[in-house]
This record gives sequence, structure tokens and C-alpha cells, in this order.
Amino acid sequence: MPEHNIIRERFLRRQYREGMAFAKESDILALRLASPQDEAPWRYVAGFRCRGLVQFTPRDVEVTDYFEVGIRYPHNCMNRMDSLSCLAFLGPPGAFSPHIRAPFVCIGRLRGGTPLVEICLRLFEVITWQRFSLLETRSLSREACRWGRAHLAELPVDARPLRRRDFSLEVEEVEDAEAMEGGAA
Amino acid sequence: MKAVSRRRAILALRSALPGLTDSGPARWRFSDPKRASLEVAVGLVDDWALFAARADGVPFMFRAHGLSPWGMLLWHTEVPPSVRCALSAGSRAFSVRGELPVAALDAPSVRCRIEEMCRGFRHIAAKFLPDASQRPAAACERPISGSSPRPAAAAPGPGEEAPGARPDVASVVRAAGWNFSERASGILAVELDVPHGVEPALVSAAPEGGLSLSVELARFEAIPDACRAAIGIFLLELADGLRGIRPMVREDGGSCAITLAALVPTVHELHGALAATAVAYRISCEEIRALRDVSIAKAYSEARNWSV
Repeated sequence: MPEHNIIRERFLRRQYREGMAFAKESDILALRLASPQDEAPWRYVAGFRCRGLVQFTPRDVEVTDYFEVGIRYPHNCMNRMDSLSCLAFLGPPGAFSPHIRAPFVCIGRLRGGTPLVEICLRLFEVITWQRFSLLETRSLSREACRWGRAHLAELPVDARPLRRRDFSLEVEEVEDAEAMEGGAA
Repeated sequence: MKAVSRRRAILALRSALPGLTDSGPARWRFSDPKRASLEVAVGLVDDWALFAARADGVPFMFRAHGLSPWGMLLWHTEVPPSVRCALSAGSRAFSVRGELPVAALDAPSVRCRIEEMCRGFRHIAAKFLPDASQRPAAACERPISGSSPRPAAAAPGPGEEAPGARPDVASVVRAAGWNFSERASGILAVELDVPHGVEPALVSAAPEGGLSLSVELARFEAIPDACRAAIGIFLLELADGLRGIRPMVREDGGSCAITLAALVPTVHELHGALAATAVAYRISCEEIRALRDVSIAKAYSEARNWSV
């Protein structure tokens, strides 16, 4: 096997490990291989269970809670990657963001060898309007830019981080049932 | 820099460093009290007070003993964040430097910041100056008179964080006027404006106090030695011109990540640090991409007086 293929395969396996570990730390992201039979994991479907927008008629922008994007690492992914050749927006139809026009989704400039986790983070930020440009020359949907300018106070649609927040809970033991009732009262 | 603020800066420097002696126009030097052979040269340039370590009266420039430029960048992760190694263009000797914004010279924490810088100089000197290993380690931990050993112990001035206080990173970044999104608990991705889009810089509360800032320049799964050498030279030369930012390399199981990192001790310096990081990113990302080509890398190293 040529050396560049060995390097690419090692890179892809690392992305798989890191991506799956990251998905376990998230309540929002579900990551699955699109073609598990392939020798090296290079195609994924990323599902985001988060709030985002859809538009079915020009005046009707609604909130929805599930989005799917296809992610692929092309053969020359170590040297060159871009949103156009690596990403495909799969659904729902009518997804509404300045950077989505299905099947295209733009998450900014990608370097060769961009990690899968970084791609998922950026996709999430675009879907939830945490990251957006309201410059129509830098977006895929003029309509979404116009809507965004008029609804800045409502953005982002979902402000949670993709990785689960740290949560520390202190549990105190209650002596007896009476104390518990007293506390409830 | 205006004359008034320059005079004020000089007064603040003299007050923070009583042992300061003149060595030229807008240039001074002082001896590290914990290591007499280590002198620190201070100069005022624009809005910065520049500090450079000197050994036995001459600029502390050293040829790395077995450390390549790439190795030096790897070693940067162990060096206290207030100082860095740099290469002057065409030189084969590393210099050691740090700096403070002139506005910070007035703050009560300035002695601690200078002491922290001296600690960094000593850390580097301990590796490269031969008499370092003979000195007792405890002597290196005594603070400059009147200062605390670590900045975290400094008394807070107006607008400075209380010692040990964890800043609310989101409100600090928002106040500095930068767009961001939350990546995880306490870690924000701030959008740096770079050619062809935006690049996320990660900002979080630093364990030593203040904020830590980092942006990934490149990540490689495997990289030939010639490219490592050329990228190392390029980044250390870049470090020569940067203020408060240093390039670093982290290797992890065969892959390596090149980052620009900064420790921002006070919230007032965040905006400047982010802007400087964006500029550093712009002037280095395409160059690093080009230096992944072995023939370009070899030609670059030769032109810089380094042959691999």
C-alpha cells in the first residue's frame, strides 16, 4: 500500500475513534458510519438533536429539532478539504440558515485533515445559528440573512454546547422520613 | 507611544524594578536576584516593554544542544507561558524573550508578571547555561523583593481579577466585542477573521489565572523531517516578531498539531491578544501549508542558513 494511503487510513481511524468518543459526551450528536463495510471509516451520517429552523413558505419559519448531515473524507483529504466536496445536508427539507441550501452546507474554510469533531462542532453552530454571517455575499440564503437581521434577539436558536456541560450534583443524606416531609413542606 | 505615557511607563518600570540601570536610550537592564549571571535587558518599543534575557552581559542566545527548531517548539509546552524562544532571521542561535504591554506597567501585578517572566528565563537558562545545574533549586523559587512568587497571588488592582478568581469567560469575551460559541463547559470558540472565512480560537480560564487562548494552525498525521525543520524555523522566526503569543507543537501518537497560544493575564488584554493571534494566523497559515512540500522546505531551510 502506498505510504500516503497508510497515512490517510491512520488519520481516518483516528477520526473514527475521536468522533465516536465525542458523540458519547454529547446529548445532541449521534454519529454513525454510512458504510461500515468499508476498510477505512470515511463516510458518516451526523444527526443533531437540537433546535434549528425550517422554512416551508416565505413567511413561515418554524423551529424543528432534528437535522442530518453527511460527512465524507475524500481521497486527498490530507491535503485539501472543502464544504462542497465533504458535506451534504440530508434533512429536514427547508432547513433555514444563511449557510445551508440543501444539499449544500458551508461551515467555513476547512484545512486538509480537519478533524471530524471540528466538523461536527461547526455544523452544530451553523444549524443552531450560533455561527452565522448576515452578509448576503457570504451566505447561501439571502432570505435567511434578511430574517436573521430582523430577529437578532432570538438568536441563537439553541445556545447549548455540543459537548455535554460539566455537571456536579451534591447529594445530602436525609436522616428520616419526617425531615424529608418537613423539607417538602 | 505618547511622551506622557512613556514617562509614566519609565517611572512604573523603575518603581517595579529598583535595581534597573540605564544601558542606552529607552533601554535598561537588571540582574536576576536569584541568578546573578542572568541579566534581563528591558526596552520600550511602541506600546510594549520588551524583555530579553542576557547571560554574563551578552544577549542570551544559544545554539540548541541537540534540540532542533521543531524540538524547541515541542519544548515550548513546558516553558512558563510568559516567555518564549525565538530565532532572528538568518541566525542559528535562539534568543529568549518576553514582553508586557506598557498599560500593564501601572498595574499592581506588574512585579509578579516580571517575576513570572524571570522564572521563565531561569527555566530556559537552567537547560542551556552550564552553571544552572549547580545552583540550589530552592534559590530559584525566591520572589523578587516585594513581589509574590506567582501572579495569582498578586493583589488585584482596579479592573483586575481577584487572586484565584475564575473569570466568567463568556462575559469577558462578549465585553471585548468578539463573536463566540460555547464548545464545552468554560471553553469558548471565538471567531477570528482570517482569509476565506473564520477560524475558531479556543478561550478558557487558565489554571494559573487569567485566560488561555489558542488557535490551531495546522495538524499533520505524518510529516517528513525536512518539513519539520523548515516549519520549526519559520515559526521560531515568527515568534521573533510576535507580542505575547508563542507557537507550540504537540505530538500525540504520531499526529502533531501546531498551535499559536497566549496567556492573557488580565481581561483588558484579551482584545489585543485575539487581534494579534488573528494577524499571526493570517501571516503563517499559507506558509505552513507550502512548507509541507519537501523540496520547498529544503530550499527554505537552506536559505535560512539551516541545512537538513
